[in-house]
This record gives sequence, C-alpha cells and structure tokens, in this order.
Amino acid sequence: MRKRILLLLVCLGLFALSAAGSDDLAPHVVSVHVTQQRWDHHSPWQKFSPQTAHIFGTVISGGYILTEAYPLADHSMIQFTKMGENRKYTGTVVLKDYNSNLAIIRPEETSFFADLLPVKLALPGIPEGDCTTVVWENGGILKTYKTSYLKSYVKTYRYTGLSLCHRMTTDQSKAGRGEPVFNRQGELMGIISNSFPTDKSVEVLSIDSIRRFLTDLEDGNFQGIPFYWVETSALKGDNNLKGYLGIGESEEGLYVSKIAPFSSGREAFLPGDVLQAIDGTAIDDNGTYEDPFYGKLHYSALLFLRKQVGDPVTARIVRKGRKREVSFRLEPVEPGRFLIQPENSDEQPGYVIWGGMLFQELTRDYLTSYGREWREKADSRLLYLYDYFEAYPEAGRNRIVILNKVFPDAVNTGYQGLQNQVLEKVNGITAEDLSMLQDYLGTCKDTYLVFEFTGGVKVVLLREKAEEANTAILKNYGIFSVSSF
Amino acid sequence: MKHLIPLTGLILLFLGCATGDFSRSLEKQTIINRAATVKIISVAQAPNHYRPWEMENYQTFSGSGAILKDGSIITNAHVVADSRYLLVIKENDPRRYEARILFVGHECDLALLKVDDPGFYEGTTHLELAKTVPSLNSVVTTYGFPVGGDRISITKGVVSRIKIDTYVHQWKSAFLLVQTDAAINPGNSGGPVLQNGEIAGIAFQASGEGENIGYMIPTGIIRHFLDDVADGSYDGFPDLGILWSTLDNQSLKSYLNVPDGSGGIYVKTILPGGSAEGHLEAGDAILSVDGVPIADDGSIAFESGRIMFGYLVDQKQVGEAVACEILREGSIISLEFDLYPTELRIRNYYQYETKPRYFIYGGIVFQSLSINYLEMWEEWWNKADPLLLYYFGYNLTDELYPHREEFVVINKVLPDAANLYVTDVSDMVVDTVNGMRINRMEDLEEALKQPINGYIVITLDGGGAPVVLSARDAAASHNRILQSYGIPRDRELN
Repeated sequence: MRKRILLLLVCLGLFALSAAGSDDLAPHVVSVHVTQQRWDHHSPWQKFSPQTAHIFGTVISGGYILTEAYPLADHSMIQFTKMGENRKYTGTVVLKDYNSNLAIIRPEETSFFADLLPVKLALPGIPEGDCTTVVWENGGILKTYKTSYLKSYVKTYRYTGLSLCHRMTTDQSKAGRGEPVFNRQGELMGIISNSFPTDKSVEVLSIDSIRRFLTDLEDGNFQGIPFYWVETSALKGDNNLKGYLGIGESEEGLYVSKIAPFSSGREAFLPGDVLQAIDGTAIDDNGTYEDPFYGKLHYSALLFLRKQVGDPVTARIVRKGRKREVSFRLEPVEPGRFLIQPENSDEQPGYVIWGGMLFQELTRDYLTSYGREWREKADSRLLYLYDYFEAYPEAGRNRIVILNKVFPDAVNTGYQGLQNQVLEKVNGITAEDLSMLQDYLGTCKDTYLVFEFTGGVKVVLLREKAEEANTAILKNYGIFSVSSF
Repeated sequence: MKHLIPLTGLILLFLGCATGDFSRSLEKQTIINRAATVKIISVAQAPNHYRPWEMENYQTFSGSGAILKDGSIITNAHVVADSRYLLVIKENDPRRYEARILFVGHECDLALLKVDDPGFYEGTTHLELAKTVPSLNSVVTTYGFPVGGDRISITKGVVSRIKIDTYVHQWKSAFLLVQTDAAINPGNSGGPVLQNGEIAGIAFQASGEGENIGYMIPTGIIRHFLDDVADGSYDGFPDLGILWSTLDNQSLKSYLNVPDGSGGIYVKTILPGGSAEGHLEAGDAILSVDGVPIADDGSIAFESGRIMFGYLVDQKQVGEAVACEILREGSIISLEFDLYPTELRIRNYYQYETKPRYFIYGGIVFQSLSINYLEMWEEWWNKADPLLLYYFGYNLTDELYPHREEFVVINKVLPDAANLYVTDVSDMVVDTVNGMRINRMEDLEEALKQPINGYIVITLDGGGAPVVLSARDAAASHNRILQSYGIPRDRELN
C-alpha cells in the first residue's frame, strides 16, 4: 500500500515536471538589453560612459514584459530579443517602481509577441518541490536551472521600498538579472533580483509582490507602496523596558521612537507608544507576525503586502500604560517631500553655478557617488544629515543645499578650498532648496551676496563681479550650462 | 627622531676645505657637544581605553637628550610620555642613571628631566640655547642615539625651511618648526641640533612624505617652555580661542569696509570658554596683533620672509595680554584681553599621564568621547562610528548640544543578569539619565540616584528605545559585576 502511494507521488511529480519543461517555458522569457547612462552627481552637467546590461523579462498578459526596476535606472535604450533569435526590437518603459523594484516595459512592435506566451501567475504560498529558472544565454542558447525555496522575508530598499522576497538555492552561477522562477506547474512564482554566489542562493521577488504591483496597475492609477516611515525598536523580551512602559511581561510589541512628519499613521502614533497589532494580527517582541503563507514576517508586510494606498488600517497600541486602538489610512509615497532625495530619480541632478561655486542638493545619489566605501569617504556632517534627517524636513527647508566645490578663479579667491558645505542662508534668507536659490540669484539686485554656511563659514561676493566672472569660469572649465534649470 | 646622514661628499668637501686650526677647534667642540648629549630609556605604560580600568602592557622607548646649564636634561615629551621608569645613559659611561621628570609639555613636545645622582654629572658638559632661529641653508649638526646603539651619532644637514606646522605628538597645536634635510630616525628624538656650539633646536619629528625632511623645535619654543616652568608649574601655550579664515577675497574686504592697504583675518567662530569670548565677535576682522599688521592670508613679516600670525600668540605665556586692532561693523576698535588655553568639549588631541574618565553602573561602562576613545577603531578617522565622528569633527562649529561640557558615551555593557536585554548597546552617546541631562560624567552619579518608578532610564542620541534597567537589580549587581569582571574601581573621574 505504502509503495503504491509512493509510486503515485512519483508519477505526479513527473507529470508536473513535464508540464513545466524548459521548451514550454521558453515563450515566457525574453532577453532585455538595457543601456544605462548614470549622471555624474559630482559634476552634474555630465554623464558617465554608457553601459549595456543583459537582463531578463517575463511575458505577462496585455502585451507587456515584467522585469526589475533597478537595472532600468537612468536608461537611455531598451532592446529585446527572444527565442534565441538575433533580431532586436526596441522598447520603452511603461512604469518603473523602485519601491517594489518592479517595472513594466514593452516592445514598440506588437509583432514581437507572435511566438510568445503570457505567463500564468502562481498563487501566494511556498512553492512545492523544485522550481525552474529559464534564461536565454548569449548566443541564443536556452538554459534551465533548478532552484528550491529556503525562506521568506521582507526586504526594504532605500528609502521607501518594500518587497516580500524568498531566498532560494540555485545551481546557476551568474544570477540576479530578473530571471523568472517557475513552479512545478510552470507558473511564475517570482523573479530573481539578487544573487549570493558564496552560498549558491538567490533572492527572488515573490509573486505576492508582483501580484500586488499588477493589482495596483489595474485601475490605471498606480499608487505604489504605501508610505510608512515609523521608526521602531523591537522589545525583544526586555522586561525592564516593558515594566517602564507599563505593559506586562507577557505582552509583546514594538517601541515606537520616531515618526516621519508625512508618513501614513503620523497622527495615530506618538513616540513612546508600543505597537502590538495591525488589523487584529498580533506583532511579537521581534517585530514579526505569523503570516498564513510564509510564517514569521516583519510586521511591515501587514501594511503593504495585501494592502493598497487608501486602505484603512487599525492598530492596537499601548500609550502611557493604557491600551487603545488607533486607525489611519495608507497614503502614497511622495518623494518630493523628503529632505534628502532618494536614489534613481532618473533625472539630471539639480545644480547652480554662481561665482564659480557649484551648488547642489544633498541627495542619496550624491553620497553614494563616492563609490562602494561612500560611508567612509563622505563628509561626516553630510552623512549625519542623511542618517538622521532623511525623511524629516525642517521648518522652512525643503532640501539641503550644499556647496559641492568651487571652481578656482580670481573672483572666488579665499573660498576655493570650500567643499561639501551646507548652505543656510543667502543675504539672510533661508536657502529652502535649489530652485529658490536659483530664483534668488537671478533676481537679487543687492550689491553683495552673503552666503552663510553651517558652522560659521561665510562667503561674500560682489554680485556683479561674480556674475560677470561666472561666464568665463564656465567656459574655462568646459561647463556648457550655468544650471540644470 | 633624526635620521643618520652618511658622510656625503658635501660634508667631506667641507672638512677638506677647513684649516688645521679650524678642524682642531671643531674637534674640541665635538667633544664638548658629545659630553652634553645623553641617551634616554623610558619604560612607558599607557592606559587601555577599551577597558579603562586597566593599563596596557609596558613598552620600552629610547631617545636622546641634552644637558642644560642647570644640570637638567631637555628632551622630547614623546620620549618620556606615560613613563614609569626612566634611565639616562652617557656615551662613555657603563652606568645607567635613574632620572625623573621635572616638567613635561606635551603640546610643544618638550620635557625637562633631572638625574639625582651627582656622580652622573662627572665628565659632562652643558649646552646653551642659541638666541635666534638658524638661518635658511645654514649648516646644523645633530647629536643623538638613533635606532638604538650606545655610541653617539653625529650628522650634518642644512636648515631647509622654517614654518609653522603641527607638533604631532599631542596633535594639539601648530608652532614654529625648523626643517632640515637630515631625515629623522627613532632614537634621535630629543637630541640637540647644534650650530656654533649652541642648541639651534631639539630634533623631534620627521615627515612621512618625501625624503630627508626632519624637524627640530626652535629655541623660541624651548625658551617659552623653560620660562613657563620657571615658576614651578607647566601652564602651556595660550590661544585666541577662535576659528578664522583669510581675508584675501576682495569682495569680502570691501563688504567689511577694510581700509585700503590694510590686511587681516576674518573671525568665523568664537570658541566657548576661549580667550576671545566676550572680546571678539564672529564677523570681526583682526587687522593687527600687538601692533604687527596681519596680511590677507593671515601672515606677518618674519625674519626675511613671512609666517602665520599665530606665531605672535605662541610667544605669550598663559595669562599674558594680547592687543588686537579689529574692524567691527566698519569701525576700527582696539582691544586687549588676557590669553588662556581653550578647554575643548571633545578633546581632539592626545592625552598622556592621564587615566581615561569612566563610570560603571549596572555593568554599563560610561566614558568620555575624545580622540583616544575614537582611536579604538583601526583607521578611526573614517571607520569609527559615524555619529561619534560627526560630533568629533564638528562640535566646535555646529550648534551641537551647547549645554554639554563633554559627550558621555556608553562604551559597552558588561553582561550580567541585571542588564540582560541591553548588552548590545555600545558606542552610543547618552542624552539623559532618569530624565536629567548628562552634560558631563559627574552628572551620572546624581542622575542615577533618582530612578523613575523603580527604573533607571537612559536615553541616547539618535533616538531608539531607551536603555532601561531595574534600579533595584542594577544596585544589587554593582559589586558582583565589578568583582566578576576584575574591575578594581567603578569610576575614574580625574
């Protein structure tokens, strides 16, 4: 009897495998050749050399291709190939969402889809048995790799991104380029976004995140991941802290320490609250909850994974020792409200050159442009502002305007060593952001311009002399435009 | 620390050109100089900043020194820093003589020693200090005991540059120094650099960049040190207590209405507690110091060239007055005020013979933020905790917690049943304890006595949940923790 069951299982397994054979999966997978040209954030009028990467896309219904968003940042050209053919089709981006690291792209010619098939999306849940990755290697060779599920977790991206990801084993040596992962039924269960060659595993953006993204798209009004920036610390069984906060030792939750002024839930929470449950689902001392599909997940999944912007949320908190319910609605991310702008804006970094002084806004891209060891190389004051004020605009200041460097010229003698200075005021007026500075410099008729920087550094220039010199400075240093505006 | 110069063609040529009389007098002078130059061996032991209740293993250093008229021996502070045991050796004497430190000035890298055994002085001579700075391109001779060895080493070089630069031993101040083309080796430190039989300077540091760049402390700084200690105590060098920038931008000069033909410097920041507080203001231009006009780049006329105006301040003893002519809101004002050293909230210079300040309660090790603390990180200047680095780098200029007299850091938590849930706290700056601001280490004692509802509550800079201990458990744990971690004292607040 036991043998018979085993036999049956093996048959089912074979059936499933054959259903998801690589030839069957090939029409779901296309090659995407992305040419990226990143802005040089330290010389913001120019770009670095273009680079082309070969990533993968998955055919979904409606004549669209699904892939990762990050590899498409600052793209200048997208080309598709399919079914191992050499013919290239140009394409365009329909939507890039860095907050879920997902993008929809499409070829300009609909004939591209002639021999392709949209993939079927898997249902949420841990995949049973081995999964398959199918990719087109260079030379048009179809390759199949085996992957299997290890665990699930919520991944956060700077600065507002959230995805449900799976860690899966792989026998593929070079992965992490948007390769689709199919379950035994040949349905899409995720796309690979990252690889960890040392332990032969990959990070897979889950079908849950993909479904959420596609659902969001359905009504034509894509709103993305809700914006929720509430800084918390896990109580981790700290009975002293619990006693001080007025909750029993058996009660669990998270300590709320800081709330961004434009986060969803900003009016619901106060620093010092203990967050115990979202929509009736309990949050434990590690900040996780028991997910019906994936086991323990970080509680933020309760706010984005199966919810959309506009949805109501009810939270159970303890405030000053008393339990209460608070509710709020999920609001969209508004990157413009950040004091320090996120990376991958796909836009030219803003700059203004005046009197040979290069003014920019402090952005994450500016800091990371120092390279891999940017946290060691960047100025510690700028790093401090980034670490502690990123999502917290100050009164009267939308952005942090910085003096990147000074192009030496007779007019700016004495100031030429200044770099990475934080601009506070111009002629006594708070430097709210770069466009305000640009406007002010363009309209000011005062004899002098007095720039005040954090820490007592002051630059005084005769306005007319500085303006006159600026044109020559731009020419001398080969800069073709006085500003990005 | 000075490098041996091999007998090069240049020096041989020089000797070859000398007359017989000259070479005999040179020989005599060499004998005198040798008899006034000694080798110094110091056994030094520095505190352990990671476990501030402990000392590091001892290390033995050697340097050189010169005997002065009163029998004291002048050498570098870095030769005798943190010394526990000090020996002086004469070149042709097999005995070793115990010495003691009379005075040490770490910022000027000078120390004065004394050998109590009168037998030591048999056969020694002494050296006088030259009255002036040696001129550029003049020949100087270095005496000392480089890279070990009990035989004296004599090398020649020329004065290749005179400038104001950092004295790296304490990394606190920049003073006048004289560069010679003799490269410098460990062991030369503290030895005399002679010209015409007088001390032209004390060899003390070398450049890591370039070749044959060695430095000596000129006699002006040595005299300042000797005059300072004449009253029996070392007070150090005063400073203006300001941060300044140059006035070499013509727009800035015309904005400030600096008179035609006049130069000066621009005062950016007045350091709290510094000499200039209450006298100078940010935004002032200092036009002259003690009647000496300052140029737009901050320099003054010096010898046949120019040097930074700080030279004038470095001539002063603590408590002496300085006269400044300043420009404030278009008017020229004459000011006079007394000069003192500026105490810093976060010491950015090295300390010696000083135990780290610490305080332990409930297993939490509180310490004071300083360069010595940051040095616990390898390549600390970019690898140390970023918040600590920011405080370190910008506490003088940015308005950071003006009420704090020092920054109190939790170095680590010594695990115990009383602090089980906070053992991962490290390198965090303390804001409050039990609701009271911690502006200095001494505040901890009072604040810890007033728990909130039976809990010790510590908030940290940068947010996050507070560190909470049960006041009863913490009190009960105190002796147990000290005992189990082998800590003889729970605090060092000197």
